[in-house]
Amino acid sequence: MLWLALYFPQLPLEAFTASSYIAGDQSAQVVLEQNRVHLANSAAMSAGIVPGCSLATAHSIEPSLEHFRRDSSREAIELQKLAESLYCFSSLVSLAPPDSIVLEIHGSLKLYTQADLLMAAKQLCQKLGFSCLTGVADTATAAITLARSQSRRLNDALLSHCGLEHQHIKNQVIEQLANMGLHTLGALLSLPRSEVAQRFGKELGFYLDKLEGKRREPRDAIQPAATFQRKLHLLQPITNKQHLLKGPMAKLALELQQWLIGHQQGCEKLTWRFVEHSTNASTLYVRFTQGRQLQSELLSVSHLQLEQATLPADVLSVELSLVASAPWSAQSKDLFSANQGANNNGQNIGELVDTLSARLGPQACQQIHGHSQHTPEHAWRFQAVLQPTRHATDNSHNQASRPLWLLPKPHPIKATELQLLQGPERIQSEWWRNSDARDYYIAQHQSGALCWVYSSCATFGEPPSHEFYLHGYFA
Amino acid sequence: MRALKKSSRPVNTQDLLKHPLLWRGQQLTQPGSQPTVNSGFSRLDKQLPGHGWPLGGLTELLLAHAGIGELRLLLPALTKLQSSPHSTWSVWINPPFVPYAPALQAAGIDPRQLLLVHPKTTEDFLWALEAACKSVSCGAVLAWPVADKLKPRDTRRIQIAAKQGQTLACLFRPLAQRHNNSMAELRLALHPGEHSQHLLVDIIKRRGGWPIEQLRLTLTDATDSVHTDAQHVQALFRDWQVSQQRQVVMHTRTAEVDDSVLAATIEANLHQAPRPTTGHALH
Repeated sequence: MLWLALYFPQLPLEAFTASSYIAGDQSAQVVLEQNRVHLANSAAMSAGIVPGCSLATAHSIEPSLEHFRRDSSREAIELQKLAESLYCFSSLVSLAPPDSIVLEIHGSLKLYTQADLLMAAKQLCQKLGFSCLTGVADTATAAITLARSQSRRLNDALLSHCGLEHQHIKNQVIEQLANMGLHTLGALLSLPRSEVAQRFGKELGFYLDKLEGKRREPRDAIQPAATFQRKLHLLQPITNKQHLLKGPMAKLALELQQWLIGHQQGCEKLTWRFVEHSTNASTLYVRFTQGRQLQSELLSVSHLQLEQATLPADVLSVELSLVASAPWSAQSKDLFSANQGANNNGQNIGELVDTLSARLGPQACQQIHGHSQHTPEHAWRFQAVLQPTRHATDNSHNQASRPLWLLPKPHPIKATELQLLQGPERIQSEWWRNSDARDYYIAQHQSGALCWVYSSCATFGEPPSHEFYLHGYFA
Repeated sequence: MRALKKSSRPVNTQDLLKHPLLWRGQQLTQPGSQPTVNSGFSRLDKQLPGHGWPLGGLTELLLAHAGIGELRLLLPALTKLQSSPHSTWSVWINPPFVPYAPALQAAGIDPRQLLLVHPKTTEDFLWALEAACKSVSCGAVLAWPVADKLKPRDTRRIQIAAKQGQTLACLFRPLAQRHNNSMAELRLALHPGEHSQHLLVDIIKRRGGWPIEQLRLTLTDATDSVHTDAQHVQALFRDWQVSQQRQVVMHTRTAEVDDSVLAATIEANLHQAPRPTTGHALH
C-alpha cells in the first residue's frame, strides 16, 4: 500500500476564506483562539503579526485586520468536503483530523503516475481554495508525518530527519526528549522500542510502530454523500454577477463536478439559489438534455441563465443542489474528423440544445415527429428535444403527396386565385371528433406557390360550400 | 543596382500566374476548391462555385412568397447532409409554418434529426443562428428572419460563424432585400416557373462568377413529383362542377348568387389554357 497524505496548514483560516469569496485582494487575516492569534496569513505575517500575540496588539499593528474566531466544527465540515472532492483519486480516502487527509494511492497509480497524481490533487485543493502540503509513504502515519513536517522543511524530507513538533506527540514528551538530546524522529526510532514505550507511555510506542508499519492501522474510508446540496455563506455581499460566477459559483460547480465524477453520474438538472435574506431569494433552474460532468459545462449554461435572471441586490449566500442525475456515459470524440479546426471548440447537439434553451427558454427548442393519424392536423406532434420516441412511424411511403409546410390553422383562400392541379383526395376525420369530410386538392396560387387546399364536402344533407381553405404549401 | 538587374530580366507571364499569392476567380468554380454539398440539380451545380451549396458560408435565398419550391430546392442537399457521418442535425430557426413530419419523412428527411428553434426577438434570433452555425453537430441551418431588418453587419457575423462550423447556412429573405447589401457568400433570388415543377433562379451574387438571370431548374429532377398530370383532375372537377350546377338549378331557382358566380369563375378558370408565365407578377 502506498499512502498520500494532504496536510492543510492554513485550514483554520481557509475554512472561513475559501467558502466565501473575497474579491482578489490579500488583506491581513488572522484566526483567534482564546483571544490570541492562532494563525495569521502571509499578509498579516509580513506586517509583523506573529501567532500568539493578542488581538489588541495585532490590531495596533494592522488596523485593517480581519479576524475570525476559530471554529473547529467548521474545519471538520470543510475537511469532510475536501475528502469527498478527493474521492475521485482513490476509493480509500480517510480523514486524519484535525487537518489532514490520507489517500491510498497504490491502486490509482495504474491511471496516474505518482507525480501527476500529486500535482492533480494539489491543484484541485488549490482551486477549492485550500493550500496543502503532501507526503507519500508506505504507511498512512508516515505519510501524515512527512506532510506535516514539510511545513518547516523543503520538499522530500527524509522521515528520519523530521522534527518532533506537530506530530501528535505531547509537548511534555517532546520537551523530555529534547532534554535527552533527541530532536528528530530518526534518533527516536533508533532507540529500543520497548524502553521508549516504558518511559514515555504506550502511545508514543504505538505511534512509532505505526510509523514503521510494524503495527496495523485500520483506517475509516469516507463514504461520499448520496445527494449533493451545498451552501456557501459569503463574508461580504456580492452584487456583481461576474463576481458571483467566478467566485462562489465556480467553487460550487467544481465541488459538484467532483461529486459527479465520484458517483459516475451526469448532471441533468440543478438548482441555484441566491439568497439575500430568507424572504428575498431567487432560484435558477438549469437543465441539461444530456448528462454533464465538467465544471466548465455546468457553468457555461448556468451563466446564460444567470445573465437573464434578476437576483437580489446583495447576495449573501449561494446554494447549489443537484436535482436529477443520470448514470454517466462518456461520449467519445472523433479523432480524425474532417473539420479538425471546428472540432476543437465544437459542441454536440446536446450542448447546443442546452445553450439555446438556457437563453431562449425551455419551450424554444422543439422537435416534430410523425404520429400515426390520418388527419393532417393530428399526424404530427411537437416534442421536447432528444426524447426517445416510442415507435418510428413509417407509414409515409404509401401516402399521397403531402405538403412540407402545414399551416397551423387553415385559412380561407379565394377560389379565383387558384388553379387546381390534382385531387380530390377525401380525408374524413374521426366521427367521435367533430366529424367533417374534406376534399383536398393540390393547386397553384396566382403568386406561383403550390398550395394544398381543401373544400368541405357535403355531409348529411348540408349544402356543399365552395369555399376553399389553404392548409399547406408544397414549398 | 542588383535589384534593377533582377527586374530587367524578362518575365514569363505563365510563371507569374503560378505565383502562390495570386488566385484567380476561375479557381473558385472548380469542384473541390471549397467544401460544398451537391445541390442535386446539375444545372445549378454547374453555376455554383465549387459545384454545390457552400459548406461554411452563408447562402441567401430571396423569394416573394413561401411555397414556390424553396424547400424542394434544398431537400436533396439536406438528405445528403443527414446521411453524412457527423453533423447530421439540421436546425430550422423560426420556420414560418409547421414542417409537416409525414411529408419530411417521405422526402427522406428524418424528423428526429431536425431541431426547431423559436426565438422571440431578432437579437435572440441572430444569437441562436450564430450558435447553431458554430456547432459541429449541425450540418444545415435554415433560418427565416421575422421582420427582416438584418444589417450587413449581422450577415457578416453569420457568414463567419458558418465558416467556423462548416455548416450549410441558409437564410430565407423577402425579395425586397435584393438590392440591399449583404455579406452572404451566395445570394439567389427564386421565382416560380411557368409550371409548378419549375423554378427560376437568379444568381445575384456568387464567388468567381458574374450574376446569372433566369436559370430554369426542373424540381422533379432531384425530388419526387408533387402531383401528377393535371388534365385528368381538371376533367373530373369540371364534371363535378356541372353536376353541382344542375343540382342547384333543380333545388332552388333562387340559389345564392355567390355560389353560382363562384362556380362560374371556377369553370372559367379551369377552361383556361395552361396559364402564361407568372414571372411578371414578381418583378
